[in-house]
Amino acid sequence: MSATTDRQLPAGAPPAARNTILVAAGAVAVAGTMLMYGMLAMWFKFRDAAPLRVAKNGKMIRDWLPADIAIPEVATNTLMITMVVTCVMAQWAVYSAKRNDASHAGLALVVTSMLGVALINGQAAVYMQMGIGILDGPYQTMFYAVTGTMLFLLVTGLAFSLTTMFRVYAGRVRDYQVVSAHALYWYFLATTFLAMWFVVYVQK
Amino acid sequence: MTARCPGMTLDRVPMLSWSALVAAVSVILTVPVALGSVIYVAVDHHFGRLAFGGNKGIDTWLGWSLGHPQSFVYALMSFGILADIAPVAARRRQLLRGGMLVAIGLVSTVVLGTVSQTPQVFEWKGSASDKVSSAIPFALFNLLPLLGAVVVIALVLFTLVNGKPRLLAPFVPAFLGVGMIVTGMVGNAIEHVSSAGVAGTVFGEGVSSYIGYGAVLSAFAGIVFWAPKLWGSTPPAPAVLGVSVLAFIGIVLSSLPYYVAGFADQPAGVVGNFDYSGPSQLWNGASMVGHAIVALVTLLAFAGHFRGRTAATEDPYDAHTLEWMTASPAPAENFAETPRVSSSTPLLDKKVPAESRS
Repeated sequence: MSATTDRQLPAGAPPAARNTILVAAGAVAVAGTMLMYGMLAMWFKFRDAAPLRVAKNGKMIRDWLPADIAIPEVATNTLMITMVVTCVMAQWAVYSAKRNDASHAGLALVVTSMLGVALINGQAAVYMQMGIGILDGPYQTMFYAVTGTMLFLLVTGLAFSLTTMFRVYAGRVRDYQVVSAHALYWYFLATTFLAMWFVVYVQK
Repeated sequence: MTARCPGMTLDRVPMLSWSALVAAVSVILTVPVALGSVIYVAVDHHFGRLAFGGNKGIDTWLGWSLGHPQSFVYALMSFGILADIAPVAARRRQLLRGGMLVAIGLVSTVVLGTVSQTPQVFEWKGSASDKVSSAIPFALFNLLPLLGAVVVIALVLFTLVNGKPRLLAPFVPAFLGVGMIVTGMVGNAIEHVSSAGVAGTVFGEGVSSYIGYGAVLSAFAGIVFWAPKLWGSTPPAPAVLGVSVLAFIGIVLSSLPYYVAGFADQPAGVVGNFDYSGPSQLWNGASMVGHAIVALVTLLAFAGHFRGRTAATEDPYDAHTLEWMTASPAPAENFAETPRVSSSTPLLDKKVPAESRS
């Protein structure tokens, strides 16, 4: 099966932990960041190409956000704050898992999952409050495309949280690499959401 | 990244593995951007077609992801295949190995330009400041990847000249394939110089053919070279050389006429009724023959006709790297015990006494 004796190399040490899931989560985070940043770059491109119009305060602005559309700032700011709290909970899970503290790791992951549901609910509330149709114009089409993609990423984050939670409650708390990858994923979601929140909801 | 054996640091990995890593990172950085465009265009196409121009918008917003210079990313592993085969053909260690790693990495700098989804065109007009501000992005995103490719070829030739070169069958398609890709990269740079006047002509199709077919020829070289490890037999050298030369002729015939026709202003994207006084039938006919030859050669090669019937030894090419230290074909798990490596060429270290190493 193996090479002849004169060509054999000395055997190496048993393979160390490969951190495959953590590396994979990092790769997904980079890919997801490029996805969202690429979409935001196209958002910039369309916004900069919009014609100028006079705003209510008399200043000249780009005619990108239709005048009859109001961004629900309370809801969107709450989403951003919830994102930060979710990251804290995900990191708490890592802290507990590294100490083999299954009860606190599990509790942290339950809270993370609940916050994930809250985030999805919050995004749905933003849609309800804005009340715009996807066919109403270019802004509306792009708005739904970019926020819908972010919503999909949040759903994947929730699925990751639930999977990690079930693993911990099934007794695999020592395998904290998955919990670390889960936290990394939520950091990625938070940073991309921060960029989207600033561009779409704050700068508009 | 996570399955390397002990001692296999990133500067010791085989060039094919290094180029695969660089290509993978490049794909991770660029394909999601294309996916973002797909989402926008698909949503717009499905709901109202208000922002992205419907069907015509597909090429406008997504064409970059399948065109050049993005195609450099898809062809990146070709450089690793050549860089792995060349030292074996030269019968010596790769000279300036670190430089080769950097050169392959340099090719990937093209991603910085492609993700911007904007052609970086060099225009020789306006003030000196205008020229410089046009030249810098053009050089960064078109010439820097080309520099990496040229350095790869230069280091390959440098190693060959300083070694004891022999005619190793897989080296021929590997070298010709990369040569075709570099010809395409030069064409890409020319296409992005506005005063060349070839933008929007069939010149771009010539660039795509050179790069695409060059990558296929390189892949053929890789399959032939590692055939002993894949299915335990060494393909016959005359057949490999014959296929390579025929493929080379086909690639040149399919691509070069479009370079010529591009300078004669034959427009791209139309098949007739264009304003062009040159011998379009000659160029288009030659190109068609070239495509037919490439198709024929591809069918021959991938029909398995050249798999060979003689069983290969574990090291049929007198090679240098780790994969040639196990049986052909490679068994499950490759080695009975995971080996520890201490250089990029562990097999050559075993063959060549330490005092005579260069």
